[in-house]
Amino acid sequence: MNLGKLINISTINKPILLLIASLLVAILLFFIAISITDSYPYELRDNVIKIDAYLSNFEASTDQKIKQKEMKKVDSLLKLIEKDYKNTVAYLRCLGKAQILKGDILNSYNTLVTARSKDKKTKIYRDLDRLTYLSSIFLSDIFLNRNQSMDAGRVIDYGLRIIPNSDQLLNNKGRYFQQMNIEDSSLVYFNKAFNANPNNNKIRSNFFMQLIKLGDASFNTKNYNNALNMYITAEKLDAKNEGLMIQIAKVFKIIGQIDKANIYYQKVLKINPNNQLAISGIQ
Amino acid sequence: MLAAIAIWLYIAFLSITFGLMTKKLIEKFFSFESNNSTSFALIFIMGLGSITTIANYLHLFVNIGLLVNLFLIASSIIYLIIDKEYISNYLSIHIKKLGEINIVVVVLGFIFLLLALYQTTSVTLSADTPLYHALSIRYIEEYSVIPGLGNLYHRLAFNNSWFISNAIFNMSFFGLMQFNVLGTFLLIFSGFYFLSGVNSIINGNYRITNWIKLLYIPILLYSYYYPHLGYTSSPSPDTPSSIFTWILFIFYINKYLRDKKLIFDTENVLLGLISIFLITVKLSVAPIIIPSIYILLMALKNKEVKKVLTTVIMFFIFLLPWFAHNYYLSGYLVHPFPAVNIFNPEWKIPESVALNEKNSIQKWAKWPGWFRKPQVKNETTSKMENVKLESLTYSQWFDVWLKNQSFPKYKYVFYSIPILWILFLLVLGIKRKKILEGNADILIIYFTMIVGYLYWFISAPDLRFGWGFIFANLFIFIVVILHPFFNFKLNDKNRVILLTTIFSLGILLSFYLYYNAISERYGYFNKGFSSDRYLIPKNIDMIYGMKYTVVDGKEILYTSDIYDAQLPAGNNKKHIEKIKFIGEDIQDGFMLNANNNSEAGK
Repeated sequence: MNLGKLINISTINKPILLLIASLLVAILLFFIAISITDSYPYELRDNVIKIDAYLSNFEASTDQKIKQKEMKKVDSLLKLIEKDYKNTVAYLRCLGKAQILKGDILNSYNTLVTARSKDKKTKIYRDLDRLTYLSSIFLSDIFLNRNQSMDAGRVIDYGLRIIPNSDQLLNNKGRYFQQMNIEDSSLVYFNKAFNANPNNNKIRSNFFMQLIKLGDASFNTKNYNNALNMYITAEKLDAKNEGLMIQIAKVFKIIGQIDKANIYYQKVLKINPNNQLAISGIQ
Repeated sequence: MLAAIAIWLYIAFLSITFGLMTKKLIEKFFSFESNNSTSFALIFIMGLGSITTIANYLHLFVNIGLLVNLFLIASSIIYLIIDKEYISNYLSIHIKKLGEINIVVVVLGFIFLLLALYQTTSVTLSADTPLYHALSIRYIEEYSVIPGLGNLYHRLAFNNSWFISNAIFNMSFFGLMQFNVLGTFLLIFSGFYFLSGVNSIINGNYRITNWIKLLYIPILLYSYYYPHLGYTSSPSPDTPSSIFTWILFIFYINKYLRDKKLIFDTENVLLGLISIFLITVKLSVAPIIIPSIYILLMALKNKEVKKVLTTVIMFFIFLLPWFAHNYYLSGYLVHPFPAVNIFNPEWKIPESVALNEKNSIQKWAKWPGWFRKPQVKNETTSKMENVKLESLTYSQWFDVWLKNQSFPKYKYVFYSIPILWILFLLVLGIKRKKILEGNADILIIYFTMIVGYLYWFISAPDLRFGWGFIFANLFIFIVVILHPFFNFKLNDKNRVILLTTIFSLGILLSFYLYYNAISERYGYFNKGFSSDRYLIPKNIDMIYGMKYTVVDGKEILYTSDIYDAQLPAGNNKKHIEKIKFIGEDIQDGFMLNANNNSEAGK
């Protein structure tokens, strides 16, 4: 079947009008489209790109004068776009980024969380997650240092929703549970943090200390098997710790495994031949 | 999507009016009789070429923005008023032809339309668009041609008229974005054009060009997703140069079949002008001008000197602004071909740099970055070692080149083409009368296809540069060879069976190629679809890694994927720091610092 049988094409006898009508329809459709779109105009995008360039220079520079100059330029551009675009993701992202670099961590976190909540649907800015995540690390550090455990926990959980395997946030979660005196959970998170990044000395140290702490607690309550487990795990993190090896030898001795206790005393003497506890403990 | 439809309508409006205007001018200049049967598609492409040429001239003085668009609209409306009878007569005939469209073709056309609409909602994946297309276009949109722009960033001196076409229709003067819907318009335009062949076949017209059009459909769909060609929403010149090459050959063959020879008439002058326009879009399709040269030589032989001279002047009018742009952007007549070294402006790119640029393009075409690096056994150490292009013999390079092509089963395509040439010669010997329906002029068209293909393979054998000639050779020769052996006097039942089989195979092939092209990138195409995209095309989200440096007290932004960053912007700090502003403003241009001049080529 041909189109001619469906529509009487010969009735379209005014080609000129058709052409002019198509131009008018084009203009009308175009203005409707651009007037109701949510897309960002060049005015905003250009300034956002410039802010990024200035912040990049701020980060790269070690000269305080240059840093100040760059931040001044960023502030003036932020002020420029704030008027018309203060509720846009683009503006909030730039503001949050600038606040991180200025050290205004609390505000940066709030700004970036707001930006992220606005950007959920389209995910326009691929670095917004990273920025919010960084901000959550810094802020949770601050809260933990101030012993504001509840606030820290909220920020850590938000950050972990962005990057669940973040070594730093898992470590902070361990610290959070420490502050809340939930020692077992603290150990679980230090362990997770260590698994996520075994090369971070701070995380390694936290995990180690928590193992010793829980090992000592078990030792004091005469739960020697549990203490031994903790100590031996800790030994894997620090194989040259004389105090730890003396403690392991001590547990072996108490539970009657003298041969193993001696092995540990000898290990200590290999590291430090003058260790009096090892000399006196060996049988 | 809504804005895309609006701009498509606008492109169509301007292309039709300027196409008809050019046709009328040619008829007047040469005192040709008015011919209303001239293909609508030919008028369309001519219109686009004319608009671009006018804008190319205007860009020597002003930026391509609101003013140029108002000028084009006003010119169109004035022309519509003063020549309404001529336009009405032409359009009435072609509008009536719409009644012959089969409903199956309408449905297929609608699918093309939907596909193109959907594709306006994805950001281009073409690597060159963030690298330099978008930035080049922004310079065009905001400034008239800038002297020595190639000094700031060498790729900005790659002058092609397609960026001017894109700048006209990008509507960026509204301050929103570069809409980049010319590519999707081309998809619809060429899709409809090739579907007209399907319509003719369904209506019982088995002319060879209809079969060629049918064969082009699957590859057209694939072309828009071929990783190294262009992508729908890219302003890459590779796509129009390929698609217009296919269409031009169809025009030439159709004309030959109608006139039984290549004659000097309105349509052939239009085809010549389109060929010139195409050369200004992509220099690698230069052999497409051969049929026009042949027609002019034949006219000279017939002592039509005045007509030939007028045509040459017209060709020159189309070429002149392109040469002028080359001169301003790089200081050469054609960049990067420093062998033609006739100017010496202060902004001239050093010869060594231009030569280096030329070599690196050719080297990239022979050995693109995505090729797997082959290893060859070192005879002295007996170890496998990476080898460089320069150290390979021709046959070693050819093996690597052929193995690394990303087009599926390309090896078969490559070897089929010379085999088809030989078969064609054999068939020409056996079925001479069927192939040469008129005089031997058709051989010039086939010769052009072969020359174009060989020129591509010898000079810069990147598939995307030769895409037009490769598939023109493949499909046209297949049809031309097979056509004389088939008798299409079929009864209705057999015709339905034959056509259903052919169309089903075509649809399957289209899906296979489409799947092959986008399967790995499917997630990207569909990522983050927001309701906003029902209104306007998808813009690039954000430019990452942006830095800046200061030259002559002015900040210049740079990053590797620079997109359409705020101007002035470049790509590489080292290059930017070697230049200085010629005057106070970007518009005055850029030149190399005297003390960097000798270093520039290194």
